[in-house]
Parts: sequence; C-alpha cells; structure tokens
Amino acid sequence: MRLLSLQLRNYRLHRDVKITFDSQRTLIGGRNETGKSTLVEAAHCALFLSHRRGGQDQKSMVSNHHPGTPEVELEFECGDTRYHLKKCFGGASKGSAKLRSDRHEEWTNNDAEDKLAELLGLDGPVSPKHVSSQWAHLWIRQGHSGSDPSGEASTQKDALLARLQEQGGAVVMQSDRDSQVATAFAEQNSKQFTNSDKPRAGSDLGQAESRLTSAADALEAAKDTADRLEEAVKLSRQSQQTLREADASIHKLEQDQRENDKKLGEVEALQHEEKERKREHAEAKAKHGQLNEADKKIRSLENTIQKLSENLDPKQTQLEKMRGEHRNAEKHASEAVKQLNAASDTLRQIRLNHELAQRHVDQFRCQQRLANLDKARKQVTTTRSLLTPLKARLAALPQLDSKGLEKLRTLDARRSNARAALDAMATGIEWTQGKGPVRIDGRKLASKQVEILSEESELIIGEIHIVIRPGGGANLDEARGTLAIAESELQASLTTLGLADLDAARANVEMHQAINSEISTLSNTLETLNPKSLDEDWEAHHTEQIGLTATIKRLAAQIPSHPAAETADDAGKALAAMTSTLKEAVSQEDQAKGQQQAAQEAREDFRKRISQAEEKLRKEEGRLHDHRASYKAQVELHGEIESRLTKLSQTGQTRDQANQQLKKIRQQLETLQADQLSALRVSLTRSLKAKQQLKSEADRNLASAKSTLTSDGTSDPYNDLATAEAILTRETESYNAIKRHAFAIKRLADLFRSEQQELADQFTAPLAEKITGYLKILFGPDAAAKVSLNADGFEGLELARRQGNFKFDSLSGGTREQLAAAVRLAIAELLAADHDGCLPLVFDDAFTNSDPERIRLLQRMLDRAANRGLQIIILSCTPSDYDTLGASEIVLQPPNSHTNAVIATPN
Amino acid sequence: MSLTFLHTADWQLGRPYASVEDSSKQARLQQERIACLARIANLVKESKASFVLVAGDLLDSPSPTMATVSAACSAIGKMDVPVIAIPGNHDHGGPGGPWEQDFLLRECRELAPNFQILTTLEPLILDDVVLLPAPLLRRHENSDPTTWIRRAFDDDTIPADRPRIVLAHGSVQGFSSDDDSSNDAPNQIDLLRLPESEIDYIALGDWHGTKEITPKAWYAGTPEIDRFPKGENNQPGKVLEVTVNRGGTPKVTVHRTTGLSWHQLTFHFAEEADLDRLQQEFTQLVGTGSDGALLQLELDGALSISASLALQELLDTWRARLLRLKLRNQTSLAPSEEEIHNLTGRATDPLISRVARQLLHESQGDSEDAAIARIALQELYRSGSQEPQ
Repeated sequence: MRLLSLQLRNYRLHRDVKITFDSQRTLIGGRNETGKSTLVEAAHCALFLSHRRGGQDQKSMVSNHHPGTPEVELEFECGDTRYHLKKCFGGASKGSAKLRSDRHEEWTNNDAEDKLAELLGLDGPVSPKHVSSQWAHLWIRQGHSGSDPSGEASTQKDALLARLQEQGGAVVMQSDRDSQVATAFAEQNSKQFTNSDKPRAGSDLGQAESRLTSAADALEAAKDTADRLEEAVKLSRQSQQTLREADASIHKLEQDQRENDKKLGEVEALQHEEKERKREHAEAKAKHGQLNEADKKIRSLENTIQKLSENLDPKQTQLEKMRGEHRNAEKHASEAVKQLNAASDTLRQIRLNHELAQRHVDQFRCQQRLANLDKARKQVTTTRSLLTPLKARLAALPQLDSKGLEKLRTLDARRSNARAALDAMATGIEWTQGKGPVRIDGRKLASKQVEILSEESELIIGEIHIVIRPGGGANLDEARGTLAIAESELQASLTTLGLADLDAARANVEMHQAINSEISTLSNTLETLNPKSLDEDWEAHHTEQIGLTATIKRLAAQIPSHPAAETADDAGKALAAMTSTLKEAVSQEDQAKGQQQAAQEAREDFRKRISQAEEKLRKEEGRLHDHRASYKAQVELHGEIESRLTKLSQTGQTRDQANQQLKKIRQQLETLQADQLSALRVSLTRSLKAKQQLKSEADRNLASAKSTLTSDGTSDPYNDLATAEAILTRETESYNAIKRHAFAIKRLADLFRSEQQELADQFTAPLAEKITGYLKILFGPDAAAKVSLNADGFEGLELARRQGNFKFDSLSGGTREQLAAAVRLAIAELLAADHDGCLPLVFDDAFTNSDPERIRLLQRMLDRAANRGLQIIILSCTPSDYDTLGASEIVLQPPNSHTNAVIATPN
Repeated sequence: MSLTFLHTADWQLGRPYASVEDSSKQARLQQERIACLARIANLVKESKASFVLVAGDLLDSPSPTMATVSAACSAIGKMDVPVIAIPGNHDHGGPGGPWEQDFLLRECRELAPNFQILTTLEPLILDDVVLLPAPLLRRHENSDPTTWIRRAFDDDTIPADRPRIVLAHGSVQGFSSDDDSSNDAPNQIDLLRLPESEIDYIALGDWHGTKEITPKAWYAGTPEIDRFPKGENNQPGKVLEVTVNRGGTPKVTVHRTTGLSWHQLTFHFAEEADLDRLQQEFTQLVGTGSDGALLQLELDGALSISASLALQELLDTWRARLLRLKLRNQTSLAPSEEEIHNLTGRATDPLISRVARQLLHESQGDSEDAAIARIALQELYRSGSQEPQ
C-alpha cells in the first residue's frame, strides 16, 4: 500500500490543503503550527476512523476558522489499483465515506469502510477504541518515538508470526501439546514457588515447610517438658539423698551434743566446787594473813616503843643545857642596849652643836652676799639715768637709717642721669657771625652766645623762621619726663623725712649712728648687771638671813652654853671642830649598835634552837604514846603471843587444805577441756541448725519436685516427646519428598521455558536480522539486535554492541528513538509483504533527541528502507536536517484563515 | 507342692506408636495392647494360674495418661487372680515414676484390688510362694538390682517350704532389649551370681521376645507384638505358663496372645511383571492387608516409569489398608525403551522431546539432582505425554 495524495478541507487550521506524496521518500517541512501533524492525523482518521464517528473525535476535527464539515480525501494504491477515498466527518448523521478505484468501482459509506478495511488487511472496520493502536508501529507521532515498538507490534503479532514463519521455515514450532504441558508445569511451578523461587505460602511445599517448622517447635516444647520432668526427678533424688544424709548427720550431731552436754554438766559442777574451794582458800588465806600481819605488827610495836624510850632521855638533857645558855644570852643583850642608848644621846647633843655652828657660818655668808647685791643695784640705777636722755635725742631725729640714705642716693643718681640724658639731647646754637637779629622763640639770641635747646624752638633770623627739634622731638620729651619724675621722687622722699637735701640726710644718718652706739654700750652694761636677777637674788638672801636668825635662836635655846663666833672665820673654825666631834660620836654610836645587834641575834638563836628541840621532843613523846596505845589495842584484839601462834597454825592448815582441793578440781577441769566443750557445743548447735536448714530446703525441693512430677493425667509428656520426635521425622521425610517433587516440577517448568525461549529466539531471528541490518548503519558492523517472542508478543528488545548488551529501557533517549526506528522499519519490511510489498511509515519529528551525525546516519537507514520498498514520510520543522535523504520536500506555510487552499506538491 | 502362675512382661500399655501417622490406626494399636490383657485373663482361667507376674514395663511411660491408667486397671481387675508386678525401665519406681501418682493408686484400689507393685528390695512372703523382686527405681540403673538377693538367704527369714521366684527387669549377658548390651549398659542383671539352688524360677522382663536363658530363667516377652521382629529367634506375642515347686525344675509352657500380625517382606524387581509377583506375595503373606496387619517392606531393583507409577499406587493402597507400612524403597528408575521413545521421539511435540532428553541425561547417577530429574521424568510421563503419537 502506498499513499499518493492527501487533501484536507475545513480540518482544524486547514481550510483546504493538498499534498502529494512521493512514492518512496517524502519530507514535509514547516514551522510549528503549520499543521504537519494534523495532516498525519487526518490521513490516519481517513484510513481507520469511521465516517460516522461523532463525539469528541469528530469535534476535534472541526475548524474554528473555516465553516463546513471536515473532509479528508486520500489517494492511495494497493497493488496496481489506485483508490480515491473521501470521508466527510460530519458525525453519525452527516458523515459520509466514498471509495473509488481507478477501475471505476465505487463504494459508499459502510461499504466503503468495509472495503477499506479489506484493503488494509483488517477483519473489518476498526472499533473506535482500537483506532489509535492501528499502525502505531508504523506511524510515529510526536513524543512517541522513544517508546519500545515491540509492544505496539504485538497488535500485529499474528501477521508478524506468519511472516516470520515464512521467512524462518526451518524453525520447529512448539505443538499445542508442548504448549499445554509447558503451561501446566509452569502453573504447577508457580503454585509452589514465587517469582523469586521462594516456596509459596499455602503451597504443598510451603505447607510442608510450615508443618516441619511446627513439628520442630513441638519437639522443642516436648523436650522442654520432658527436661523439666527429668530435672524434677533429679531434684527429687538429690533432695531424698540430702534428706537421708541430713537425717544421719542430725542423728550423729544430736548424739555428740548429748555427750558433750553431759561433760558440760560435769564441768559445771566442778566449776561450782572450784568456786567454793576457791572461796574457802581465799578466806583461810586472808585470815591467816591477817593474823600474821597482826602478830608482826605487835612485835614491831614492841620494838618501836623500846627504841623510842631509849632515844628520848639524852634529848631532854640537851634541852636543859640549851635553856641555860639562853638565859646568859639574854643578859648580854640587855647590856648592849644600854650602851647603845648612851652613845645615841651623846651623838644627838653633838649634832645640835654642829648644827648651830653651821648656821653661824651660813649667817656670815648670807650677810656678805647681801652687801654685794646692794652695790650692784646702785650701779644699775646709775646706768639707767644715762640712757634715758640718749633715747629721747634719738627719737627726735628723722628716722633715716643707712638703708634709707642709700635709697635717697639712688633717687638722686637717677635724677642726675635724667638730667645728663636731657642735656645730651639738647642742641646748642651759637651766633658766630653775620647780622642779626637772631631770635629764638621770640627771644633774642646774642652773637656768640651758645643757646642750648632742649625742646622744639623756633629760630628766626631775619625773615627766616627755622624750627629746631632737638633729639628728634619725641625722645626729648621722654627724657624730660624722666627727669621730672626723678626729681619729684627725690624731693618727695626728702620732704617726708624733713630733710633739705642729700647732705642733710647724710649728716642725720651719722648723728643717728653715734647716739645708737652710745645707747648700745649702756644697754650692754645694764644687761650684764641683770637687774632682775639682782633683785631676786637679793630677795632670796634676805629671806635666808631671816630664817638663819630664827634657827640660831632656836638652837641656842637648846644648848645652854654655846660658843658665840664673832666673825665668819671664827664661825668656820668652830664648825670644823664640831664636824670632827660629830664624826667621832657617830662612829661610837655605830659600834654600840653592832654590839647590841650581835647580842640580840645570839639570844634569838638560842630561843629558836630551844623551841625546835622542845617541839621535836614533844613529837617523839607523842609517837611513843601512840605506839603504846596501839600496842595495847592490838594485844587486846589478837591476844598475847601464845594465843596468836595457835590461831596462826590453825588458819594455815585450813588454807593449805583448800588449796589442795582446788588443785585437784582444776586438774579434773583441765582433763575435761571445758573451753573446748563450750566451743564444741556452739559448733554442734550451729551444725545442727545448718543441717536442719538443709533438711528443710530438701523438703521444700522434694515437695516442689513432687508437685512437678505429679501428673494431671491429661497427657503423657514422655510419649508426647516420642510422638513429637516421630512426627518430626515423618514431617522431615514428607518435606523432603514434597520438596524433591516441587523441585522436579520446577525443573520441568524451567526446562520447558528454556526450550521455548530457544525456539522463540530461533523464530524471531529473521526479525532480529532485519533490525540488525538497520542498526549496523547507525552503530557499526558490531551492532546487533535481540528480540524475544512470548505468548503475548514480542519482548526483550536489546541492543548488542561490542561493549555488551543493553536493554531498550537502559538506553539514552536518542539511542532509544534510533533503535525503535530500526525495529519499526524491520517490522514494516516484514508486514509489507501482506500489503503488496509496501507500507507507508511516518516519522513525525521522531528524532528530536538525536545528534546531527546520527540524523545523517538515520537518513541512510531510511534510505535503505525506501530502497526495500517502504514509503518513508518524514515530518520535520527542520527539513534541512534531511538534505541527504533525497526526499521530495513539501514545505507547509502558516495557513491564512482567509485565504484559499494551499496545494503542496513535492519538488 | 507345685504352683502354677503366668509369667509376662513388657505390656507397655499406653505405647504411642508415634511412627504411625494415622491417629485412628494409632488408637487401634494402643487398644490392642489392652485387648491382649483379656486374652491373658482367659489364659489365667484356662491354666488355673494362682497369680500373674509382670516382670516390669507394665506401663510404657513414667507419666501415663489417666485413660491408659484406667484401661490398664480395669483389664487387670478382670484377671481374678493376684497380679504382681515390678517397675521396669519404662515405668520405674523412683521419683517421677507412675506408681506414686494419686490417680493410679486410686484406680488400682477401685478397679484392680488384685494388683500389687513391688518397689522395695525385700522379699514378699506369701502363703504359697516367696517373691524376690528386683525393681528398677530409675530408668537407667547402673547397679544390678538383684544384688540384694545374693545374700537374702544368709539368714532364715525366707521360708524353705515354698517356691522362690525372682522378678527382674533388664539385660542378662547376651540379651537386651536394646542393641547396646555391653557391660557399661544400664539395667544389667548378673544371673550367675544369684544362688541358683535357692531359687526356683527367675521371671525376666525387658527382652520383647520369648526366650529361655536357663531352665529356670526366662524372658516372657511382650504379650502383644509392638515392633517388627528382629530375626527368626525373636518370638514376641507370648505369655508363659510356669509351674514350679521348691527345689525342682520349672515347667514352662508358651502361649500365643498377640492379636495383631506383624509381617516382613523383601522383594527385588527384576522385570516388568514383577509388580504382579509382588502383589501375589503380599496377598499370600498379609491377605488383603485390612485385618490388623503391619508390614515391613523392603524393595530394591529397577522399575520402568509406568511400573514405578503403578507401584506408587499399589503402595498407597497398602498404606491405607495396613495399620502400618514400614517401607524401605531402594528401587531405581529405569525407563523402558518404549517409554524413552515415547518421551524423546515425539516429532510433533519437539519441546517435550527435548525436555525428556535433558531429564534422561540428568537422571543418571545418585546425586540429588539426578533424583529430582527422575521424579521430573515420571511427572512428565504422567502428564499425559506418554500417549503414543
């Protein structure tokens, strides 16, 4: 079948367009929205969609710009017959179809549809829902170029198989029985195993596996139960053994304890007796000791009394002797006191005389001093009378000292300097010759007269007026001012001082200095005399004088015949004599004092010694007395010596007997080992307690074991265990058998599948070869295609290259659309045999993901297909990409809704 | 004065028959052990036995179910003579054993007042006999339980005027219920060390076949067969009628008491018709197989696929009829030429042919894969593909 031309009217954006197809290669170009895809769709609808089709399919054809029913006219040829098909898609009522052949045959409406289906190799008109799948493997619409075409080709499976059968005539086909058996084993296998070859739950194998697991679990549970019983049996036996051993031990321990208690009773009795004997021994020993001690004490007292009595007599004689010596010492002391009193009296008298003589000497000294003071006091009075007028004169003079004079001199010097400066600035004018008159400031200047000008002056000579400014004017005035100030200050100072001039000042200063010098001399004299001190000294001596007079009077009254000195020398001599006398009297008195003190000390010494001797003697007499009293009491208490000796003998015997008994008891106790018996008792008690506890524990364990071992009779754990073991064995065997059977079925299913695959591979070889022929153009001589056939159709499209095999879905977008194109071309080649060796293939923008080089190669591939009889129709918005295809090119222009039809024909 | 009694042992009441899959068959086997006691009761009457001695393992388990206990006591109670037993290794007399369970004691009192279990190592002096029990007090007793009997006659406590019978359960030199009868095995009884002249009969238990060890020492065996016999000398399913007198040689009469038939058959497949021959041998030996029979079947030889499938059907039938089919199938698959041709020479079914050829190749050898391939071949054959073209 080959398309010849296509004309559309009122079909979407096309008002009226007609294109003519090349018999082999047609390239339809045009920008987007020029209606390229619409052309393809319209052609497809003309071939497969009923003219009566309404609804959305029909509405989608109706143009928004061009009124009228959508019409498609398609010319094509089948074999050597040309057909003209016209379909008006006006819905169920207005739609129409007309088919004409160049043999003047004509079919309308449904007849036309039936004829068309026949020409297309279809069983009848295509139902609406299957329209889109028609020729889907031949006509590639936009956006579908990368999908696996083997699925689309499945709609043509039968036709393809027939072609493949024709081309691969040597290949053996599976029989229906083959297929049935293979299917049966596959189904059986799928019932047993999942797709991942795991036993399926609920399958025989799955159930066997489940039963096996359950049996193993049941065996474990039965083992646990049986183990628990065995443990209980073991515990029971152990507990019984423990009980037997514990009972034996307890029996033995109790026997030991009774024997031990018996010995302990003996020990207790012995200990009690030991205590009694010990007490008796202690008492006898104490009594004997007491008696012995008392005897010793009495004997000791006797000795002591005797010794004390013997020592007392010589001491009393010694005391009497000491008392006589004491009396003599008393006498010596009394005499020494008398002699001391006499010496003291003499000394006191001499002291009075010496005092009087001293006062006399003091009195003469005091008088002499008062006379000297009076003389000095007169000299003071004289000096003061000279000093007063001098001070008055000094006060009358101007108060100018050398410092004030120096200041005046400074002021004068400043004045003289100011004058000299002024004079130095002045201008001297002298009329030396010529006629006059010459006048200065109105004054006439005499000839040869020097006139000093110290200030601005006007000189007039005849009619000539000359102004002379000495010193330049300003400086002269300043000098003049300075001089005036200096003079003024000097004059002011002088006036203040009341002086006429500087000389007067000098004279005044000299006068001032002379008077001051004289005052100074007098003042020094006065200061040397020290009038105040003179007065005070005079007052003191005057007072002393009064006191001395009174003292001398008082002393003289105490000395009846005292010598009276006339002079100071006399008085001094008398004092010296008296001082010597006094010294001697003092010595005598000191000697008397020493004698008196020695006598006193001797007397005291005797007195102390006697007192000490008396005390000592008294104490010894007291001790003797005490001993005698004690001796008497002891004898009264313990008797005389015979009685005491008897008692001592008796108590000694009692003590020794008790001691012997004690030793015997202790020996018995030692034999019995009392300490160890007590320890043994503790040990035995502890052991008994431990054994009792052991026994109690064993009783409890026994009861526990018994409880465990007590059967409720509902089951037999041991037989349950045997049963569980048998079941596990049985289930294991069953599982193994089922498993082996399942694997046998699996092996059968696998083998059939494998064989089927091998057959299918052989069957699809012609198709794969055709695809490979196209692929080699694109991917080189190593490229090959693989495709499989299964019950549903073709599958497993792969591209085999040197790098390996690549499943269709794993390829890039570009490679996918290239491989898909190769597959479509190969399928079309095979199917074309049913259509007089030609089928139209449409590629609508089918290689958008391919690079320019691949598109170049694709053109060679498409060219090969065209050469093999296929009609290649390319739709592209970039027709220049297919320049090397050598196709007849039709360029669609954007339709003008207001223009008429576009008739496009190949170049 | 002679005395007649029945010597039996190893009743093992309550035995679970765990290897039997079908529960109703299990119950049947268990019930048969109880039914056997009725046959013993009849024998008591027939032989006018004074009492019945059970030499251990009266019960199969130390923890029997209440149903077992009740059934046992009920059957014992109907024997009308004293039934005296010792504990064996299955129903030992120690802790965890059945003889102190309250329910058992109660059921004995109510249903079997004629029953007495001897669990102590001391003589039981009755009016006409002295019993010297050697009970097992644990499952595995390492010391000889008859040791005490060696010195039991040292004093005069045992009367000299009546027969003396030892009751013991365990292995004697050369005989044991287990394969292991070495000196280290438990429950060993040294008969040679017993004072033979002082003893008039030794009633032994544990060995399930009837066996005379010495004229005075016998294993009674189990009265109801419970396993496929090991060897022709093994004669289970019997009870001994014993007549003794003091100082004499006992007279022992063997009585068959078993109710079920246990059979053994070994068969070799040599040719295609052997399947029919097997069926004939089965019929001769077992009958239909549906009358309380058990069969231990050992098969070897080679079978075609069709024969193998037929054998499987046959075995399935026997398995249903028999109380137990214990099968040891060591036959190998040897497809016939015709079978091979039918499988591999199918021109119109190329897939089946190719798969069959592959399986035939794989089925050679003893590997697991080969075994699986053989089954697969059978399945392929069974799938209907064996139909001739």
